[in-house]
Amino acid sequence: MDEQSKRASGWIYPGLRIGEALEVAEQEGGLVLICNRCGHVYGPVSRDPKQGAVYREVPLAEVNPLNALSPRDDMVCRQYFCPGCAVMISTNVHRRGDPHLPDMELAPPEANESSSAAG
Amino acid sequence: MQAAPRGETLDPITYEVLRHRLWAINDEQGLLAAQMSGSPVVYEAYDFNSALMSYRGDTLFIGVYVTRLSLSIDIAVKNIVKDYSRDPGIHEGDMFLTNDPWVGAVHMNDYIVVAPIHHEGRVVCWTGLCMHEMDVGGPVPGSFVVGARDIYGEAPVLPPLKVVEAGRLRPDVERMFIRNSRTPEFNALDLRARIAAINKTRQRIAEIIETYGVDTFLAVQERLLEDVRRRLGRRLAELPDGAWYEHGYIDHDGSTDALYEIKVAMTKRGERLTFDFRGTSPQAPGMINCTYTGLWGGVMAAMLTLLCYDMPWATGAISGLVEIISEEGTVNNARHPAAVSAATVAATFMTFNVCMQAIAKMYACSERYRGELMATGWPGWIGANFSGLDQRGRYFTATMLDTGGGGGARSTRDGLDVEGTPGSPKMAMSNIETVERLYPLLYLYRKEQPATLGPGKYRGGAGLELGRLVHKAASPVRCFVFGHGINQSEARGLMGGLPGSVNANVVYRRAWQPQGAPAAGRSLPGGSEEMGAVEGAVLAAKDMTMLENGDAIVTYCCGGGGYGDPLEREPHLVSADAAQGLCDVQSAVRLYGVVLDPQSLAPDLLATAKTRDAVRRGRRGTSLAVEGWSVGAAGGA
Ligand SMILES: [Zn+2]
Repeated sequence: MDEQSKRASGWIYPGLRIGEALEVAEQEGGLVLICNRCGHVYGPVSRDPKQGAVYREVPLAEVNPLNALSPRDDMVCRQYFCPGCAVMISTNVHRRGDPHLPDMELAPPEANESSSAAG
Repeated sequence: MQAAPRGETLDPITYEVLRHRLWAINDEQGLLAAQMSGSPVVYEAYDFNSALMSYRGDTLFIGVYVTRLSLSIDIAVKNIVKDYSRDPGIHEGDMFLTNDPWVGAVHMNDYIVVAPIHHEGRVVCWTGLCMHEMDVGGPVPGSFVVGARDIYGEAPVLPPLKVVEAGRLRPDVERMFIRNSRTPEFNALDLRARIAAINKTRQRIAEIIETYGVDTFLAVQERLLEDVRRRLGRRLAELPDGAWYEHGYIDHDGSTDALYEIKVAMTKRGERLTFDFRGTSPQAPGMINCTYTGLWGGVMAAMLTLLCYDMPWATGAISGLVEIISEEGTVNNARHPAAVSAATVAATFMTFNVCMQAIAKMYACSERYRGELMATGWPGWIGANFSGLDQRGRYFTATMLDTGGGGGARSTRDGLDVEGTPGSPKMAMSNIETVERLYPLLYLYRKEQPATLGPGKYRGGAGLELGRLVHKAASPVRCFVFGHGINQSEARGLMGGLPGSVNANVVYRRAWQPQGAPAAGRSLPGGSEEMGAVEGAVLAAKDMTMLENGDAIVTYCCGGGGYGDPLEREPHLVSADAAQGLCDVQSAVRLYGVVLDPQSLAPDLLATAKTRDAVRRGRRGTSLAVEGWSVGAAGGA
């Protein structure tokens, strides 16, 4: 497949931007997700990038003063950052202490083309 | 007996002409019914929708009003064909009426009328209309039953009944339909409005068949379904393969202030999408559940909005590319006799939200479609019903459709400030003058509330703050509220954007007394901050309170979720927000790290860079490694 067709299709290729601050890159023959601000490697492309991030939990009322109208005090906004440059790559709302929830698990490129060898 | 096409060849021009004509016929059917309705919920807020279906009952067109209302009309048709074909039979001129959530309705207020359309004794297509009735009976006005434990405590359920038999309205069924309602005059007119609009569609279809022949008409149906299947398949193939995850909560089941979680793992492989809801909370002992019809409607509404914005809304074609995995007995796939009176605005709504967010995350991974994504906007329903004696001393009950939240941020621009109901392109907000004329309520104000929006590189839209005053009521007014997103923010951010605020209802007792106004010099309050010394009482997500004349209820509608790190928002956009009153100097620093000149509101770029560096250092200093990972249901790629 030529470069232009790949970009128009569902192909996952080095240089593909994911959202704002994430990017697909090639490393030691495999595809990884990196920070496009500082180069931090989050991990394999098929793994949720948050597993390679750092995070903090902020009570919802601290995120927004209006949230103080909520009768609950166990709800938090979980914020995930690049360990290198601290850009925020993801947020979600959870009960304090609940397990992390992934955002995405991209299929490695061999899944796009059945003729390629499995990696 | 069904018709079937006889391999008629169809030229592209005839196909396009008839495709657009059918689209217009379905829209006309919806609009006609709304124009004949006397209920402001229908003719003003447009809480209804229509659907045109193939001879097999596959949806060809969904109207542009409240999508979720018509997305399961085809399920009702297929159930009627399955159960009634033999006895009592499906004949020319028949129409069926139902509000059964295990047959095709989403909740009991949304009565569906469906009708086969015959030609020479064969069914050549189906049509249907769904309208939200103001009240369909049950223990509380408006029929959203806060506190019901199961469906036996809610409004009566009618399985499909033949309301029109061979072209004749059955008075016994009509009487049964209106007998249980507190608003029988509205419901009776709505029923006749549906029947009249469907009769118009029958006439239109007969005209098509007369001009083009029945085989061409049937061939257009097949071509349309094939066309949409191919177009959506191509779109899915253009997106990367993978799995995307989201969750959301519905707060308060009407009895207990508990949280119910809806989880989705959306997997895309080639041209197919799977929505896996395993892990969703068990069904609740209260009004918030939906049945499979609501689950289906929530998924389809999200797909139509984000994936099918430029193709006919033929869910009969889309269904072939989608699989839904869900455990029966969960909050969005509830078993009988679950309570479901708030299904449309609770479990179905939340199903829609999590699917929208999963699709948006998929779009974030595509250079081609990133520009089409949208963070969650106006996700948290905050309904209210008022009842009592009005300014003329007559009984009234009114379910309000006067709220609006902020739109979700896009990847290229901010969300809309105060948008309509997501997934329902033509639903409207009711007119203040109509409400004040009909009911003993006075609007103090409606305004954009900047504290509600979710910050981001592109911010979510601001939600609405509105104040209503009970005025000239001849009795105390009973107020039921049934919202979610009250205990926690439902408008999730995307790719580092922050969530929007919670929703809230706050009651201010004796906020204003008209007779005391001139002496006391008190004008009508223009915001919650102008309620003077009156202390507000925050209502629970599902709650009931009695209001007297002069009492005010203030409603905050949440804003939309943001997109991207707020520290990357262009300082001049923050400055522009400040100039518009959508951000103040303190919030600019707190939310975006942007330092504005207090007089000119111009950004100080040097101070902004320093502030943002300090915020980033703070993030590093307070963050932890990610542990305790929950593996998604899709199990990785
Ligand atoms: Zn980085």
